Amino acid sequence: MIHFSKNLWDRASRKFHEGYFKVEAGRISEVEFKKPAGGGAVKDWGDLFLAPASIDLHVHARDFEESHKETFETVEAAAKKGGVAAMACLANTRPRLDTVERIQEFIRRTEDRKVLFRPFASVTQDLAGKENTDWKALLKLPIAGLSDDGKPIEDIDRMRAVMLALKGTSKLLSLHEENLSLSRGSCLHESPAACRWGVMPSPTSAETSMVTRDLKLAEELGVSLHFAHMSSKEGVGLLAAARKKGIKFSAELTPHHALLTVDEVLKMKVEKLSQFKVCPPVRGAEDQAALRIGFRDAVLDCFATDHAPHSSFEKDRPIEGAMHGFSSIEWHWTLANELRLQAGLEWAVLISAMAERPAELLGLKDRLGSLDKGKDASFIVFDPAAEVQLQPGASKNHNGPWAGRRCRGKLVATWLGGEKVYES
Amino acid sequence: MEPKSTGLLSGLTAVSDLSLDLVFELFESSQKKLSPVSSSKIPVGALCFFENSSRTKLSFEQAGRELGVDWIDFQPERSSLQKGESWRESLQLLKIYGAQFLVTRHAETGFADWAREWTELPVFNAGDGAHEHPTQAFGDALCLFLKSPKTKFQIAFYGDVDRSRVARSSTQLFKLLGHQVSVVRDGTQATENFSKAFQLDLIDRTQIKKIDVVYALRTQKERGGKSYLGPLEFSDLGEKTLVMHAGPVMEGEDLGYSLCDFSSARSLVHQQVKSCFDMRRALLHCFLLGAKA
Repeated sequence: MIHFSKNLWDRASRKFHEGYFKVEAGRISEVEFKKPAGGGAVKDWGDLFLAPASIDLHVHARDFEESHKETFETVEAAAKKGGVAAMACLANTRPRLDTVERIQEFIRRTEDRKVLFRPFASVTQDLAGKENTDWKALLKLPIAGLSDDGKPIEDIDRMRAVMLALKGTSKLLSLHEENLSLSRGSCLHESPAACRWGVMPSPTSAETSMVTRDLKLAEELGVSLHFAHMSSKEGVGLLAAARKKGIKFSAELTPHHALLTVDEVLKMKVEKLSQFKVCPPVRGAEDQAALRIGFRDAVLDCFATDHAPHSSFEKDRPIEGAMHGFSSIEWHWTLANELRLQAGLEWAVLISAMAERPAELLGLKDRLGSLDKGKDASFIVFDPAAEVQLQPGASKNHNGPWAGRRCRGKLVATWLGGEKVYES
Repeated sequence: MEPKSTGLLSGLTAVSDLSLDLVFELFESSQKKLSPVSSSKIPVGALCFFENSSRTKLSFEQAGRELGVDWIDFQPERSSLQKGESWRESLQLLKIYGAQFLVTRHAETGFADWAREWTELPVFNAGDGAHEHPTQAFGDALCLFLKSPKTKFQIAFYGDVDRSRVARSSTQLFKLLGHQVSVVRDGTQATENFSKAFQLDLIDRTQIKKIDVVYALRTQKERGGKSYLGPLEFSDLGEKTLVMHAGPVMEGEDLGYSLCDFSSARSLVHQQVKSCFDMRRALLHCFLLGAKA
């Protein structure tokens, strides 16, 4: 099968050009930036954009004892709808991914799926911050890396030790940077908007105090870090300075921190506040602007959803006791495109942050992240100009602010390994 | 003339639920002798206080009693909540047992609105976290109205505005009624944010002397509140400055001992207790009239 479009992503020129690629046995066997010669089945996508399917480095896949939130089947369906070929899944499942046996069970239950699931193992047992997991044994498994995401690593000695354990490996140490004594439940960003509702505010220092510590350690130990869901102007400023100094790290921008500001809560009814609760919280307009600049400049080099489904029992309640997080993976490309248009970003920024860089970080560069010859034929067909209303349905829950919003960018189809797995 | 009851059919969870016309009608009816609303069915309300309370709970209870309300007194600390039952389930039980409306107090923002959502019953918000305490605000406004019906007071909030539901509700209502509201700067981001959130002037402590009414707030320690100003003292006041406090007063902490004679002409503290009781009775009466209709 040959896929032809007037807008095929050209990694070399960092632009879309007219071209085609040929798929054989699920892989790309030929790529040319011209019209295909006669012969063979050709799918002509017209003006629609063909780009590599994305890799989401931050997904809470749930399942196990939390199948009321999400199952491997539903998160995979949501990923396909979102144009996602692979995802790194965090360890805060129940039970936690904190032993070799649980990681093996996770792999056994996800390995034959079209979407590639790559688990994180936790840094501490039960993510409790007390006893370390068996890092040495876990790092021999095909995991994304180590992470206590959902909770910070508060103990500096433990942080130093886990950094050294990961040094020299290709695995990620994904950090949830939250000083719990400052964030105080992390309901809403410290702001007049949060004050209006009387909700305990979470200041940006809850993030920056931890980022400051960990950048210092990374510099001292010569270790690379992965900063999850960065949210603040000051935080991205610290990372920008660290990049200039040559400290190695990767960092995520989420759709909600990129597209929303805390002022949205001023328009809400009090019952809806819990749908805006996420950790770290969505912050102010200045933070959003700084995050977008950091993303443009590849200080934040990954666009990850932090997909976190919860049932209505856990989310539809007063904000203080509601769970953190939004369901979002099924709109990965649409939200990214909306950001591209709002922030005036080049396509190259998006494709680097959604496909190329995450593929590199997960060690999947030989298969995913581009449409080069020899790679998996895992790609999206996308209409960037189409206006859509975000319709939930693939993920088991649609908690959060996205469902019903109008955005620009329609994911027309997702193909993984040469097979069409989603069509709108 | 009896007040229009249509504004209270679903209870009252925020000061913005009521029109100003209705507020003034309630001011008027609060000063009348109100009798039980004749009905073939005894009205049943449930008092659901998930946080401690003296004034608010007792005043609702007594006001309801005067109006013929039969109360279910739900006591969370002795209930199945302690075994792990959800609030939602506990409240839904009360409806099954015949409660026709709820009075709720809870530590979380939006609880009253959620209680209404979960039970589909009218709910009177007796305080939800640091969000709203509307019946206190109506009582406070009545207190000032009775003091001088036509005066537009200059009112300054003093103390822990950040964690205070009283400050949030009363600020909004005072502004609606035309009073000029400010907040005393305590040097933290909290008072800055509060003044921006409600578009208030931020004043220094020394400016209290020029203010008509200073509203001292209790430090809400149970909600992580902090006091950075120390107690309000007599020396802070101008010659005619009045002092309000919603109670309970932490003597020597919120108010210096020089201001703890609540029967003094400068203190409105006990008048607030009375006006809050009168307003709750007027609100319940208005609601029961509507429920009957």
